[in-house]
Amino acid sequence: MNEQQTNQLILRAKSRARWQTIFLSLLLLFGIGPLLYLASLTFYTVTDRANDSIELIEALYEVTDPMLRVDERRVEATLTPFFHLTIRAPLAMEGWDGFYEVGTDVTDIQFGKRMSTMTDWSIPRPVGNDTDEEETLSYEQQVGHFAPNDRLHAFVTFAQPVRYEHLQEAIGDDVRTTWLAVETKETGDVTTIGFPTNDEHPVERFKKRLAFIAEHEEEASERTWPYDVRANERLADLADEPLSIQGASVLVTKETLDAYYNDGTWENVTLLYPVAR
Amino acid sequence: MNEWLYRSSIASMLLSLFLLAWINASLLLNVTLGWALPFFFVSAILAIIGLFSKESRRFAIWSLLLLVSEGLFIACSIFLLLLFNDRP
Repeated sequence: MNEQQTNQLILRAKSRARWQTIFLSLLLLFGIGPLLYLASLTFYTVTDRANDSIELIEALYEVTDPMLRVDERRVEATLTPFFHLTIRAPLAMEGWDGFYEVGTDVTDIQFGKRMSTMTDWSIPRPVGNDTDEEETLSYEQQVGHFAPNDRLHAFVTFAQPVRYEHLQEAIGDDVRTTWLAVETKETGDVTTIGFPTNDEHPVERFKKRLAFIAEHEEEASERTWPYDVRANERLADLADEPLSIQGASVLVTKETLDAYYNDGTWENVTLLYPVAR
Repeated sequence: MNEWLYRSSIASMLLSLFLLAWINASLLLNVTLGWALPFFFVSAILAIIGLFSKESRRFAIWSLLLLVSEGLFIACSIFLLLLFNDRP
């Protein structure tokens, strides 16, 4: 082997070593992404963290919101390799002819901890200043301008709480309820709780949902801040007392609403339409 | 002949790395993975060709290992995502 051949061999070996370094660097650079993604996916799936967060969002809307429901079939979750999970839960509101999508609840979670929640409204909403105090409108101001046959969706409280078993007797056939508010404890900083009526076994479902919230009470309180669900306390109360209904979201005509309001059966009427909270 | 085998194994390695970069892009930027399959097969064929030369065998083996790990990664992800979607 002469000197020229030896030099060629050395050059070729050097070239291969350089290529190998380049390959290895690219491998490390590109390989980290999928590995982190797998770690992130494992973190959220094996411990059911992602599913629990989605279920909590659904449960909280169902138990604490008289108007909005999460469309369970269309909830989307996206995951990044950096342990970031974004949950997009479409929000629907029940109307006279079915459910209408009104927006999307977007929750960002990092390392299993909720970072932010916002609502993307897909409907027109009043433009207001965040610092404005919420205006309380009188009954006349809210419904005065509607015609007697206009169909309204309102949240009403009952003058006298009604036992769940006697609800049908307390309200007529001309009233369709979409959500029932349950009376347990009443203090200033606690959310109203209740359940939608469109399930086959609404009470069992409500108790299950409340029990689920109780298991995740800390996260639930963070989401409902400045109000608190106090799910554990309320579950204990529900176990002791018969179910008593304090109010309801109702679909009624203006005429019927007037009748119930004027005879004192219903008080504190709030028309339901989506507004930014 | 050997030179061609060597080149095919290098091409296979480059294609496998390109696939890996594509997987990264799909994770970070929601790029679809669908078109990756033809590249996957071409890379595998080139790697197998590269196996026939002693000189290029190392690259070809690396390339095949990379393709297998990519396949495993996609399979694991699909399995975990199915687990994730299995909500009551």
